[in-house]
Amino acid sequence: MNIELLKNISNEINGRTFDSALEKQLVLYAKDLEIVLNGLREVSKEFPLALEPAPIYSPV
Amino acid sequence: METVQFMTIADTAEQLRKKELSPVELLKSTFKRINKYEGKLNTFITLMTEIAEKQALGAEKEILSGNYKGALHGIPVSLKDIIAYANVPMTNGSRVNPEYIPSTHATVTEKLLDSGAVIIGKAHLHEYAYKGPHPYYGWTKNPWDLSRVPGGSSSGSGSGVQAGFGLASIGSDTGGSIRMPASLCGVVGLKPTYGRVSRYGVTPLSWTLDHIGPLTRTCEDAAILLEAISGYDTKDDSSYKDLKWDSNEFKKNTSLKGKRIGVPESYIFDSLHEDTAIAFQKALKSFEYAGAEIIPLEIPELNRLREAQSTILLSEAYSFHMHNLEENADGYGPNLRPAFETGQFYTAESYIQAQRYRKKTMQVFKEIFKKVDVIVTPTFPDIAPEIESYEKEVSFWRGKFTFIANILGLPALSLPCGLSTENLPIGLQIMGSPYSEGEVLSIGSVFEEQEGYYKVLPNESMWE
Repeated sequence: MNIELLKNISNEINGRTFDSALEKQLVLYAKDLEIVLNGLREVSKEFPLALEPAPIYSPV
Repeated sequence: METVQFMTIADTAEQLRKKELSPVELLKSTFKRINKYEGKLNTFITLMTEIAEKQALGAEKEILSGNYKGALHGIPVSLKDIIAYANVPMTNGSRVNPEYIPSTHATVTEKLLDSGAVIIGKAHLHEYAYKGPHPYYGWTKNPWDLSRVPGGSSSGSGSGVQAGFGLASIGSDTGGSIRMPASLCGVVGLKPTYGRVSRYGVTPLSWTLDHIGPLTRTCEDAAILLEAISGYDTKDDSSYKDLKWDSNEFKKNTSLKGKRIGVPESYIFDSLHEDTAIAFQKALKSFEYAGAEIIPLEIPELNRLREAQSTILLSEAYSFHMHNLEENADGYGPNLRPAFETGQFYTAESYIQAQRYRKKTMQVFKEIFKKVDVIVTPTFPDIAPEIESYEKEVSFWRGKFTFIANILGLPALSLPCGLSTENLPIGLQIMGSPYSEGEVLSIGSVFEEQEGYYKVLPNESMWE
């Protein structure tokens, strides 16, 4: 994932001030972020477009 | 008096009840061990010596006057340092707000005090219960090999219980943080069902994944602790009114006849250390020997569940920490800060999809638990890693067996099931359906008594 993109999200969408000291490590963490987001997008294809309320989360 | 390291709560309680042992004598013996070995093992952030002495003296007076409260009366217990004890510093293992002193007890602390337990200190932990220790506090050491990690995030709890620094510790578990240190330090760790134990007064990591539970020497001791700390709490929305855990649900059986034990084979064996694989196979044989039936399971949903766990955990952790990350960034350790910062990049849609997938998988497990009584896996795929190599890792993904019970809210137990060729403990995980702690602990106890690994202790001369 492009570090410039992360910087822009941080600064422009999340109201944060991106700390450039984090750049190196965030690039490493962002690798997993991309895998996770793509994976969830994939599993979401299994969810039916039903009219019943989506079961989001209720403990147990 | 027997050495504290060899003692169980069940046996010690009997001696205290019969007035054969005094809580004051027990506490002195506990602190003698702590003073002797803590310098090497580094299991505490704050010792509560004076408070504990007063509590032990109070317990002694109560017992002598015939007011014995039960199995925890006079028993020394530690608290992970994200659990509040009023008027005692709570660091969370971090330098974000190290001077913080809570004004009230966590519910779990109050319950322990009500049961007569003696609180000896605040145990060391991974910073904010994630990643690793803050460099300021350094590593807690694994009592089996000081160059190895003790597991986390309840690192001081696992190492301390193994070293006999108290007879139990209360930890927290968001992806395996009670069970992994239990496994790597060779003790018992129980993560109860979501909602069983109040989280009020405990610093959150991830609200819908956090659980509180005990680390002990045996399954019976875990049952005793669970009875004391569980129950409905108006101060925690996630706690359930109808859940009344009674330690009578725990049975000390000798047979597993009629029990069906599920094993998700392909998920387990695709990435396992050779020694862990051998110990796990031996454990399955032991279950069969005790009369249980082993049922192979295929659960394809597990392969994508990790993505849901990561999304939920880091999104919720970021929501909690976002202002401190901006205003008090230097207080975070250099490894934790970027991990928490990543939480801001998960989209709202991904969080919702993660929760939907979570719910879907819960339904899958509901069906599985109609076919099996419990599911077993190793607790940790590897043996305890060297601290030096562990520190260089970015990936935290050693929780492939433990996180399942967090995201699905299931009760899960880790107990020792063998030793590696390098003499390091290996843990076995037993997961049950919601609220089946009695079943999980009872099955664990049969295995524990049959194999006796809880009696195998590390060589304490290396801690001097």
